Amino acid sequence: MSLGRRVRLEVLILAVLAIAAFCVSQRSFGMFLFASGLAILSWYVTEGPRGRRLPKWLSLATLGVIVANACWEWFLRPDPSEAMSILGRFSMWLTVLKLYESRGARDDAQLLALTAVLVISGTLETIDLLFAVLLVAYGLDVMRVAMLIELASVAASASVGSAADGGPASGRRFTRSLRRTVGFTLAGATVTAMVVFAVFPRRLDADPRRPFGGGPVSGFVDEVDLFSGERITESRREVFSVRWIDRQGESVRFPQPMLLRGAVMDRYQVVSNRWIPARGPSQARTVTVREDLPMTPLSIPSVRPRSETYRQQVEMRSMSTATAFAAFAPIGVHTEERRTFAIDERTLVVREIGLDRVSRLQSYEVQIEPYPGPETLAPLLGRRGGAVPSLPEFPIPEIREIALELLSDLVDGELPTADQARADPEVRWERNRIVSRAFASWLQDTARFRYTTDLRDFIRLDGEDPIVAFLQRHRFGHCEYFASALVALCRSVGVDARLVTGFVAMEWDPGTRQYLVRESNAHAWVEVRTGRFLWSSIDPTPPESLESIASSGRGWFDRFRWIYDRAELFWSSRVISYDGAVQASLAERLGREFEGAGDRVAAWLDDGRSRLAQRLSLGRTATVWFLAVSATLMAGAAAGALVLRRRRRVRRRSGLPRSAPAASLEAASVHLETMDLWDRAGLAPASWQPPRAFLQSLGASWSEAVALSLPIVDLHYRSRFAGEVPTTTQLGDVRQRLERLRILLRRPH
Amino acid sequence: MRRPVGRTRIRYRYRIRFAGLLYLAMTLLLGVAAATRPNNLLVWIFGVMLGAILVSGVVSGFMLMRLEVRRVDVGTAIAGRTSRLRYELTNRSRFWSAFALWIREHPVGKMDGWEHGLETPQAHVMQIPPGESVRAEAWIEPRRRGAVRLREVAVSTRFPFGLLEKVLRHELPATLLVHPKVHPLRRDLLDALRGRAEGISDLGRRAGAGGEFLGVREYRPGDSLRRLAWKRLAGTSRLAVVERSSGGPPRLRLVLDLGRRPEEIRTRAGEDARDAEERAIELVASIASAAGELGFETGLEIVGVEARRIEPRSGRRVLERIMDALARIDLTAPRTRVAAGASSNVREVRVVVEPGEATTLDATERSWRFGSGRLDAFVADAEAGTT
Repeated sequence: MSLGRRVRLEVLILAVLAIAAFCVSQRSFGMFLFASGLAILSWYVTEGPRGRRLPKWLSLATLGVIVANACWEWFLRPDPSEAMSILGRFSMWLTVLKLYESRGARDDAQLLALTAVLVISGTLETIDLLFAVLLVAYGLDVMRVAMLIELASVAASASVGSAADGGPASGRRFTRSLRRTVGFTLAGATVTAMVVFAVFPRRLDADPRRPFGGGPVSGFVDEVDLFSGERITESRREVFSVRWIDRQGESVRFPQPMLLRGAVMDRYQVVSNRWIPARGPSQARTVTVREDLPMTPLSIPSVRPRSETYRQQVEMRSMSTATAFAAFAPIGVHTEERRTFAIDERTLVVREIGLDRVSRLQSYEVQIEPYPGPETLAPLLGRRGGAVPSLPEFPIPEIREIALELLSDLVDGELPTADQARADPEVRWERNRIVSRAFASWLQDTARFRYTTDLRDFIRLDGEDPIVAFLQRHRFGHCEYFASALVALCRSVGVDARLVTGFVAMEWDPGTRQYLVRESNAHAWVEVRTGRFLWSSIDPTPPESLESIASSGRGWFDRFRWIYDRAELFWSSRVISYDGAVQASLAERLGREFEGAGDRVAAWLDDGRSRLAQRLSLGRTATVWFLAVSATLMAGAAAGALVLRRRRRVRRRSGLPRSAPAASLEAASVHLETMDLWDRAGLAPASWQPPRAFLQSLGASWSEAVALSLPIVDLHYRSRFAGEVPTTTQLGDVRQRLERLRILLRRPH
Repeated sequence: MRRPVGRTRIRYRYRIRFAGLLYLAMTLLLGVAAATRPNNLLVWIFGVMLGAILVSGVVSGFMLMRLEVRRVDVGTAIAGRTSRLRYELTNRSRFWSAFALWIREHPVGKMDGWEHGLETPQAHVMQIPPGESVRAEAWIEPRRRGAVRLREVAVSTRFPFGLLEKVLRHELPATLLVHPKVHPLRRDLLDALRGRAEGISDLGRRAGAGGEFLGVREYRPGDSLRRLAWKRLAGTSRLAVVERSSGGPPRLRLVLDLGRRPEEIRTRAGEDARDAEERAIELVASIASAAGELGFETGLEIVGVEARRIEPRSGRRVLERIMDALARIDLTAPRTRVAAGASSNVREVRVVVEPGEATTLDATERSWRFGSGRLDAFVADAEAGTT
């Protein structure tokens, strides 16, 4: 294949790669099929038997259509966040168009620039692993193609302007040389990129894990935003796996869907329609894991559980987070390495707070008491006595009206009033239980409410709260809407309730006897206070909806998905979540490592020496002798390797066979050194000139040096071509001549 | 053979190309975007782009670091004809191949002969494997004759990415002699020239080993007995020998008369005096070339400027000397007002060429005088495609 054709093929591959990356960022498989299909077809059209190119007028017309389409897209959605998508699509169609035109080296370079724009547009849209893989592949390939284009441009210019015998741009030798250069270039660029990546200044407050555009994907959030109404993509990505181990050490299945808590929110912002954690004085208690203990207690003093406890083993697969997802109520924690956790005394949410953020939680174990009594909860919650404060009433009056109306309809019989409940705690807990269950049952009625992740039809009126819209008008939404509605209804009638987000573990794998938790298992539910220390979980989302989500989209690919998820865990934990804090942490760790490095090396050497002495039963003096002899042997081995290397080089340059005697090799070595001396002096034979003829062609000013050199050359030639084995005397003579020649050629002539 | 490579002065230069500037701007933009947006992929791309710039400099540096260049046999060129400049490049590196090299002459000043209309010649080499030498050729087509001083050879590469151009300028002084343009002359002119030369060739006969009778002379010791004129011996007591003539080739002495000052030259309307002189030189070169092909012994005499006289001889060597002499004529040099004299040699045809219109009609049997204005009339139609 000619160089020009090869370049065109490589550019096509690069274009398809860039199109694939962009389509992954846009999550549009259809667009990928269409655009890449067109791109691949261009090879047959332009390079096939007929070799057609797009006429200029048609090319210009198509360009006009592409420009008009981009303008139209912008006119329809003049949103700055859409600009990169539009630019990307524009570049993509332009790339496809250019593939059909007649191309020179300059056009290929333009295509390269277009694909770069395409990929950068995608980079601003997504942080997916698949995109990153395509991006890395593109980055490596683009450099190779750029080199080929440069070579092709030289070849194209040369074909009209000059001639050379610099060898054709093909063949095994050329390919090998080029491959070596490409390898070095790619390695250099990659190393530089890694260094830049590690030291590039980043904002400490930025969250690099937050995706950019492209629509929301199901997954855990620690703040619930009801404002945005979009379609949520159901992601089947495995987040982590959970084993639920009983006292006998066996992995068992939990009788109901296991709710793994990650964040608790009890404050609703009316303006922004967001649920956020309650703010107040820090009530977190820190616990550092002790590796020697099977479980480090999360309370002081440690609790003595009355009921059955379980160990919840979590192994992360693709998620990188500091939150330790755990069922209610966590009483102990364990990790393989020493880590520090904080447990929020109000919510019992456990988070890792270690300063070293370079390595995130990979696996951890939490001891759970599923049905805790006050003896367990009191020390966990800090043994706070006195009256239990109520959460503030929900701030939207319409909800209260709805709640009161519902209560009268839903609750059969007499319900204690809020005042009665305040006076007697037991009445309060009973009332909370009845009211919350009634509201939850009402919400779970699928004839009344519909579960959906597609909120594009969830149209809000000006000034209307989304919870009110959900309860009164639309009556469809996802788990966050159901949970928000329940909390709002409960709090409006004086029932303490809070919104919890995390994951629901439902997918039991009987083979490995563990739960697989996917992104689509991210969930929101409600906790209602049903005791002085106790909060009971109530899930208002219709259970059938959860089951349908869990069972939907399962295919053969899911069997192998764990491989991809492993890679994604690395990607997410090591690359995407690499932020300013990790950077600072890494720098601190490196500083610690280098601090006193000299002492550590000395200690290591000393330790090695004493271990050696101990193993060989040597005294101090004997050890020194042993080391000295070892060093001498090593030096000898190194010298031997050098000699062998030199002999191989002499044999290769002089063309002597392997069976050549050592004396012939020595004569060849002296001869080569002689010619090198002439070369260093600025004189060298032409490629067609034998050494002897070269020496004889030199002028009178070199006569002395020539006289010294000629016997050396002659001896080598007699030995090389006439089979004469040089004697020791002859070798000594040529060596002396060489030394004299060395001195002579140093002088200026 | 002296190899001046090791002692040449080398100058290093980096040039950023337009594509490189665009690339730098794009990299900077990405850097700003990466600094303001919490997107690690952007940081990664930024790193790769920076790495590409760095590697681009390092790779091209490694490639050119141990590269040596020399001109091979800087010979002569002919105005109006394509010729070659050859270079030998040696890659002294033990590991790195050199790719995509451009070799250009680097004229330092405009007045080194480059004003004679020589486009900067350039050659290319796709690859030089480590430790090997390759040769490259640059095509040149000088438009006018003269001596062109070649001073530096620039070896450059834009490999690997075409962003930066690294240039190494090797100081390698040499002179390229551009011979005057040679026109094919009309057949009748050549026939006339040949006729005249042959007409006077009898005068030019001399004793030799030819077959024709030349005369009888007295015997000199050493003469062969076979050549004794026995009939003459019969009448006299003196020994005589028969002399036979050798057929010598026709001789042509070209005289280029540049003794007149430019204002004295009678040029055609719109023609510059310097152009007329150049045309006179071209006419002399064309006649010399044609005469050489016809087997003349050709010589050259340049009147008015300092130049060595070339005696009529046959063969390519003398033609080369004539062309060299014509190429070296410096028309800016002061003139000496010496008129071209008549020929003293009866055996040669003398053609005097002067710039512009001929001042006298000196058209004797042995001597012609042409003005350079006749060049168009003399040129065969072959130049226009017919003979």
